Parts: sequence; C-alpha cells; structure tokens
Amino acid sequence: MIMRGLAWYYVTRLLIVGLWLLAATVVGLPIWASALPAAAMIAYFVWLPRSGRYVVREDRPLAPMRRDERSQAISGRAATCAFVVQTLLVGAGIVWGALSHQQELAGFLGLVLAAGMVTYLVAQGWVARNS
Amino acid sequence: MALRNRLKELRARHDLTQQALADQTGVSRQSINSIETGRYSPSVKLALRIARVLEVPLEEAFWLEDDVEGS
Repeated sequence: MIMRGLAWYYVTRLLIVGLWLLAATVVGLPIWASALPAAAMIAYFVWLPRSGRYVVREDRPLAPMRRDERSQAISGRAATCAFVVQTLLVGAGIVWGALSHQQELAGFLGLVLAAGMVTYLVAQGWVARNS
Repeated sequence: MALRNRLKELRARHDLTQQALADQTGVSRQSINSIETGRYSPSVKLALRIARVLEVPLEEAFWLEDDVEGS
C-alpha cells in the first residue's frame, strides 16, 4: 500500500493533515466537519503517487511528484484558457465600472488588464528568445 | 499527417507494462497511454528515449500516417 522511498512524502502530508485538524479544533468546527476533509486529504495524498498522472521521483522525498512534458502542455493550455476567461471578465468589469460611474474600479481593473497583457507579451518574448 | 506508433506491440515484445515503460523513460503512465492511443504526440527527445528503451530505431516505433509503415 505504502510506496517505498516516499516516507518523507507521507510524513509531510500527515503534518499538513495534522495542521488542518489543529486549525479546525481552534476554530471550533464540529468533529465531522474536520474529520471528513482530513480523511479526504489522506486518501488524496495516498492516491496521488499512484494516480499515473505524475512522475514519482523517490529521490526527491519532500516533493516527489513531477509533471512530465504532457502534463506541462496540459497546464499550459489550461493556463491559456484561464488567462482568456479572466481577461474577458476584467474587460467586462471595466465596462461595468465605467457605465455605473465607478471610475476607481474601472481604473483599477484597467491596470490589472494592462499588467496582464504586458506580462503576457514579455513572457512570450522571453520564452521565444529562449526556446 | 497523424503520428502513428506500435508501442503496445513493442511493449508486449519486451514484456513491459505501461508503468514500467513510463518509469524507464521518465514520464507518467498516463502519458504513455496517451501516446499509445495517439492522443498525444511526444517530443523528439521522449520519442528517442522510448525507442531506446524498446531497442528499436525511432522510425520503427513511430511513423507518420502516409509513410510506409516501419520502412
């Protein structure tokens, strides 16, 4: 059940679960509300190395899961989709802010949009130059 | 032009599971599965690593659809 060479992985993930249980106790959550997520987290952490989604590097005990080239391509596409959706939403927010006379909101969202666009263009240029 | 492959056949010849081939080529089992089923085209580096593990020339493991198979 437990994969060899991943002892540190399991120990650190158990610490994360322990921190969750501690926080839940401090906040005063009911037992079921803290135990159910804890059980789900344990199941997730046990399943993850054997999910087939990641390359498991047992020589890197604290962070053994690595994305391979396919996973990276998937992440890249997903990030592009997220960027497009967020850009559209921010654009809609600018229009809404301008129409409802909330100039501060429109101005702030304009800055967010501009920063996103500049980051995209700079990153594209940098990646193109280095690939 | 679609990329075709005979990884499944070559794996069987070496008695390798998808996970074993994945371990030896440094990718995930799902990536090997996606390559086998033609849903993902590997990089040249990965294709070469796969061919090396399967002990065949690259073009025997992968070919373009309109090429003569395995020639």
